[in-house]
Amino acid sequence: MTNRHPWMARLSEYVDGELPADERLALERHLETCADCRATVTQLGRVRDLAGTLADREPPRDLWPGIEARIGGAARVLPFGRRWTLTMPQLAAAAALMIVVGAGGAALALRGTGTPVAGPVAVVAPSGDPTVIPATAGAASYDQAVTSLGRVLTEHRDRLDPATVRVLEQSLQTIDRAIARAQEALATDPNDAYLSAHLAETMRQKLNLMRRAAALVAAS
Amino acid sequence: MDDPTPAVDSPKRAVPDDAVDVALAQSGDTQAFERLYRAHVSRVFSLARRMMGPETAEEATQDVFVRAWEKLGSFRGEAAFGTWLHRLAVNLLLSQRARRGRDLARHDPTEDALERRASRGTRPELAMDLETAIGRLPDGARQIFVLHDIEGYKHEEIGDSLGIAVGTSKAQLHRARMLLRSHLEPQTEDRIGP
Amino acid sequence: MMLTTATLAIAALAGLQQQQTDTTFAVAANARLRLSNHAGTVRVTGGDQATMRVRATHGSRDHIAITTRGTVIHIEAERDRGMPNFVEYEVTVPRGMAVELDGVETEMTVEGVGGDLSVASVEGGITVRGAGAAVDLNTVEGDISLEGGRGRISVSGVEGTVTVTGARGDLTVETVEGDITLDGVESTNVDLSTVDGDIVYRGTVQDGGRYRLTSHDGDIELGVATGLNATVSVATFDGSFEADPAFRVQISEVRPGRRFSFTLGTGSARVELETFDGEIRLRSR
Repeated sequence: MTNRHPWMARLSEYVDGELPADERLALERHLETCADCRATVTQLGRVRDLAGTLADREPPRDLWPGIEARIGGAARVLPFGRRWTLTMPQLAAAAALMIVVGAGGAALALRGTGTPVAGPVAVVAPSGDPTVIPATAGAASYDQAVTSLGRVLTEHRDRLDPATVRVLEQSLQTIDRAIARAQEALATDPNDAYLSAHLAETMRQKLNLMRRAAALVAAS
Repeated sequence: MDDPTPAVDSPKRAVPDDAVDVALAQSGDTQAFERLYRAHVSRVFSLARRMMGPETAEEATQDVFVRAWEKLGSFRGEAAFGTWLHRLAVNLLLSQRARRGRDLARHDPTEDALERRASRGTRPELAMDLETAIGRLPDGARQIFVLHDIEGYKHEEIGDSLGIAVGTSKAQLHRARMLLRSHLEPQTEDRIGP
Repeated sequence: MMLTTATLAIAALAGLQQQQTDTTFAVAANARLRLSNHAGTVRVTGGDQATMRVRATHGSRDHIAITTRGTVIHIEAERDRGMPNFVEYEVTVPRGMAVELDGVETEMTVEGVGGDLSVASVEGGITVRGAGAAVDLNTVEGDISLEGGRGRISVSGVEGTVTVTGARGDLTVETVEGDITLDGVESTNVDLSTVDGDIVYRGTVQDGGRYRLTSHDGDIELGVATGLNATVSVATFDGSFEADPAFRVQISEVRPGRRFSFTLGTGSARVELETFDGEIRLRSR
């Protein structure tokens, strides 16, 4: 077989145009006299072309419920019927991380590069008791969520009525001022349990408002 | 009394950009992630079915989306979401494949079946559709055929992903095509020599 | 020039020509209403008949599409091209029907509907009277007023006040810039939060319940009858706390920037009153 068809093993490379020029010329000389190899070249090309036309198929059953069960363990029902999974422990953790950054770095940390929140994180529970709450496996850290939501809101703001955009921006500014004041207060008293919980709550309100705004964009 | 106009209506809701749903999903919105799932599932499922076989494709597809959810934080929007998801799917499927390959016996009886049929030629009534034939390829040849001829990866990329030499990738691709050709083109059978 | 202006004016008037739609039809007992509207007003009223009546005033180029899919009756204005104009709806539904309203620049009013209720607008207030089941209200710009409600009750505003009276169930109320006032509420689970606004809760504090009232810049007032059993946690950074003497609150020391708590009766319910900057008041009623 190989003696009669010395190029048989290289025909796919030839079909794909991947042979160096000298080998290609030698192979083409062989093809002039070998009908078998010519036929094989045609077939290989057809296999390749057919492969490129295969259509995607839907799965035979809906796979989403199984996925939802695996990612939505921490989901809870929040206002306006949407399901969110970035929960208070994660926000508290994000706030706690800002506090760890310390007085001078707190403001910087909010727009930082994104601190992943995963695994158990020590946070201060609203009761004031230091508690270890395992952070849920979320899609992204607080910073990342705020950054990406901010990006889509900037890019797609023209989908919303200007009056709505104005209200949303004013409200976000109000929340940002509240966050800044909480951070300033924390800077003077980093161990205050109320302040860290309040910062986390205000951050949650910001994220919640941004989600609502993005949901409006998605529906518009 | 009038009856309400009977009609099959479609809600006039614009299809949201992936970007908006990605951002929402990154903020923990599972409904936005469900929309992303619906938009991309057939692509991912088809890839999984071809690479893993129909019996494990559903579970593998779910694994891909669960992993995508966990990794969404690392998606920065440089590429389209679909491209990012596809890359993630290929990597995950390859690693599952490798893990499963270690658990399986080296010998695959379906491989013999295909080889035998290829060697003795195929009568027209035995021709099977390409998907089925791909499903019966030996593992190594199948992966490389799917990645190269269906998904459009280059041999260098496949070599990197699988940790094999470019020459090996080329040889396996050729093997796959050779195995597939006789099942697809029975009408050309009489032109092939003994 | 004059002529051109006059022609334009007539054209504009023609475009604004109003048309009425009025249709009544029987509905199944388990039917649900889903109405979407871009701009205008929507008023839905519960009635005694097993029928639905839809009256709408709309532009002559729009028509009101009423379609059914499964048990859901959809109502929406349509136009061949472009966005439908301002539409005013008056819809009467069987009293127990579940109703879902969705609008953009739409004022929403719902009266006497006993089924589950979901109302969402963007620019427009929401008024609900005589709600009988779960309620979910959501708008960005506009005041929200709810009377009644049972079960899970969720209210989300952004800029605007929220008023809830006579509700029974689990209450979550959230707004950003606006006051929250609850009156005559009976609930074991209350979560009220605003950023820039006052919060007033007048109602019962029940044994084993949980009540959380938080603001950033605003006053917090809890108005309850004496004799309640609650552990009350108070926190403020730059505000103050005062309690009606009738409660006989015993606090050893009150300083700004500190959280403290005290127990009333058995301490069974848990009450959290927090504002970063504002007065916190415990009032007897």
